[in-house]
Amino acid sequence: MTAEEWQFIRFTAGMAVLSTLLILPAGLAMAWLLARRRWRGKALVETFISLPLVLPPVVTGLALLQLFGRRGPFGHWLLNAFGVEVAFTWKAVVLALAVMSFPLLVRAARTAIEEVNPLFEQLARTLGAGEWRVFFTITLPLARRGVLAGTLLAFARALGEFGATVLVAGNIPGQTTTLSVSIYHQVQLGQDGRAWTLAGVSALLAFIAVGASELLLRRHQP
Amino acid sequence: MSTGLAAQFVKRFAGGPAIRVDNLNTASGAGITVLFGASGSGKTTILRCVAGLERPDEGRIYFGGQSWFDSQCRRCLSPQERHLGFVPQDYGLFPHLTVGLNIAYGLAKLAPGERRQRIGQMLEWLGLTGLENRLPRELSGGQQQRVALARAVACRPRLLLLDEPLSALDTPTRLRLRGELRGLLRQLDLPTLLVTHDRQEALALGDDLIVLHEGRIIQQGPAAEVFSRPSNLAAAGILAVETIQPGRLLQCVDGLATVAVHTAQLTALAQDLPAGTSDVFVCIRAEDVILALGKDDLSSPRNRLPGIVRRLDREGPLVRVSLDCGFPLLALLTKPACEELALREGTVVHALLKAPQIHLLPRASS
Repeated sequence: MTAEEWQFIRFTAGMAVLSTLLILPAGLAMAWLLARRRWRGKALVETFISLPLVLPPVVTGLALLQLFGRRGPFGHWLLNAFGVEVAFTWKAVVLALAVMSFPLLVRAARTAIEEVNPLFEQLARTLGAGEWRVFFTITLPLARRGVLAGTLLAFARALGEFGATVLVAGNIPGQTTTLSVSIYHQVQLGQDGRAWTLAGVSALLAFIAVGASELLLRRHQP
Repeated sequence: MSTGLAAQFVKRFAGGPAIRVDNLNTASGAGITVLFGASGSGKTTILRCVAGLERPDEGRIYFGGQSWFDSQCRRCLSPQERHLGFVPQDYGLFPHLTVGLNIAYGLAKLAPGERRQRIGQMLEWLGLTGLENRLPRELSGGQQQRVALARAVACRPRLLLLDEPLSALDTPTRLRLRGELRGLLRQLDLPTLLVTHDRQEALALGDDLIVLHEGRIIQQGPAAEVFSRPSNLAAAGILAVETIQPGRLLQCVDGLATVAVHTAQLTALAQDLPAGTSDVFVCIRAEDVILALGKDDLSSPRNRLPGIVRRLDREGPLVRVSLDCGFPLLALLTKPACEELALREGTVVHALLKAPQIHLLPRASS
C-alpha cells in the first residue's frame, strides 16, 4: 500500500472515532430524554433526528452544505465569530459522519434505556441520589449493552459514510478524502485494483469493530 | 399535630378505580403499621405515594409535622428529600452491584471510613458477613431480602416502607423468615409502614393495622383490636377468622405449647414461634371446633373446654354457635348435628379442639 492509502485509512478511522466521541454525550442525553421524559414537541424532534436514516445521504449532505457553507447561516456565523471554516475541511467530514450516525446511536440507546426497570431508578432516588448519579450509576450501567452496541453501530456507519461526506467535504486528498470517497474515486479512474485494496481495508476495519464489540459484551456479561 | 405519618389524598387512574385515602395516621415514634388488604385494594399505590414515587391528584401527606405533599400549595418533595427507606416487593437489588455496593448506595454522603464501618455493621447485624462481594443473583431469596433491608436502613431513614416483604419467597422460607423479620424490625426501632395481603403476616408483624378495601381505608387501629373487633362487615370479611384471642404462653414442651386464654388453658403446636415469645394470638376457625355433650368419652383432641351456648344463628345449612368457654369461641355445625346435640341457649357442652387447629401468632407484648 502507498503512503497516501495509509493516510486515507488513518484519517477515516480518526474522523470516525472523533465523530462517535462527539455524538456520544448528546446522543445519550437525547436517548434519555426520549425514553424517560414527556415533553412537548417530542414526536417532532424524534422525526427530525431520524431523517438522515431515511433521506438519501446526498440530500443530507446538500442540506449541511447549505447550512455550513460560507454563505450558509451557520457557516457564515462560524467564520465571522471564530474564523472557523467548516465546508471542505476535515471539520465537515466530522460533521457529516456525526449527523449520519447520530440516529443509530440514539435509537439503540433509547431502546436500551427503556428496557431498564424504572424501579431501580426510583429506588436510587429514595436512597438520596440525584438525577445525574441515578443516570451514571444505575441507568447507564444497566443499559450498557444496548448503548455499546449503538455506539459501535454508529462508529461502523461513520467508517463507511459516503454521500453526505462527499457533498459537504468534497474529495481533497490529504485533507478530506475518506476511504469510501477514495474507493469511488479510484473506480472512476479505472484503478479497480487499488479500489479493491481499500475495500479490503474497509472490511477489515468493520470486522475489528464488530469483533471488539463482541469481546466487550462477553466480558461484561452479567 | 401528630409526629407520625398523616395522609389524606386521592389518586386516580385512567379507566380504573380511584384510591381515596381519607385519613391515614400512624403513631408517632417507632412501631409497625400494616396496610392490609386484598390485591388490587390500592396498598402498593398508597405506599408509592408516601415514598414520593407517585404523585397523588390531590390531598396532602405530612410526616413528623413536615409537609411532603400538598396539592393546595403545589408542594411535592422528591423521594430523595423525604429521607426514607423503601423495600419493594421483589427487593429491587441493583443487579450490577455487589451486596456491599448495594448497601453503600445510600451512604454517598458519608466519609469513606465511616461508610465502610456502617456497611460492616449492616452485614454483621443481618448475618451477611462474607457475602459483600456477591452479586444479588448469587443470593437466596432470604438473603436478598436482608440485603434490601440493609440498603434501605443503612442511611438511617426517618421512615421505613416495605411492600409485601415476604411474598417473593416460597412458603417454608416465608414462615421461617416471618419471625426473623419481625425481630429485625423490632431492633430497628423505626416508624415502619408495611404492606401485605396475608392475614397471618399482618397479625404477626403489625402493631397497628390499616384495613383497605377497594381503595379506601375501612378500619385502622391497634392490630389486636382490629382483628378481634372488625368494625364492619367488609373488614370482618377481609380479616376472616372467627375467633382471635390474645393469650399468654405458659410453657413449651416437646413442640407443644400451653397457652392461657382468659380463664381457659389450651394446648397448641409451638411451630413457627420465634424463641422467647410470650404473648400470642390464638386463632381458631369456627369449622374446626367440635362439640360434645358427655365429658367421659375418650377422644383424641388435646383440648376439651367446658362451655355454655350463648347464641345460635342459622346460616343456610349451618348453625353458628357462640360459646362462652372462659373466652368467646365460635363454632360452625351442620343443622342435623345441632339437633342431635339438642343445643339451646344455655346448654352446657364441651368444645373439642385438636392442637394443630389452634394457630398461634406472636403478638407484641403490651
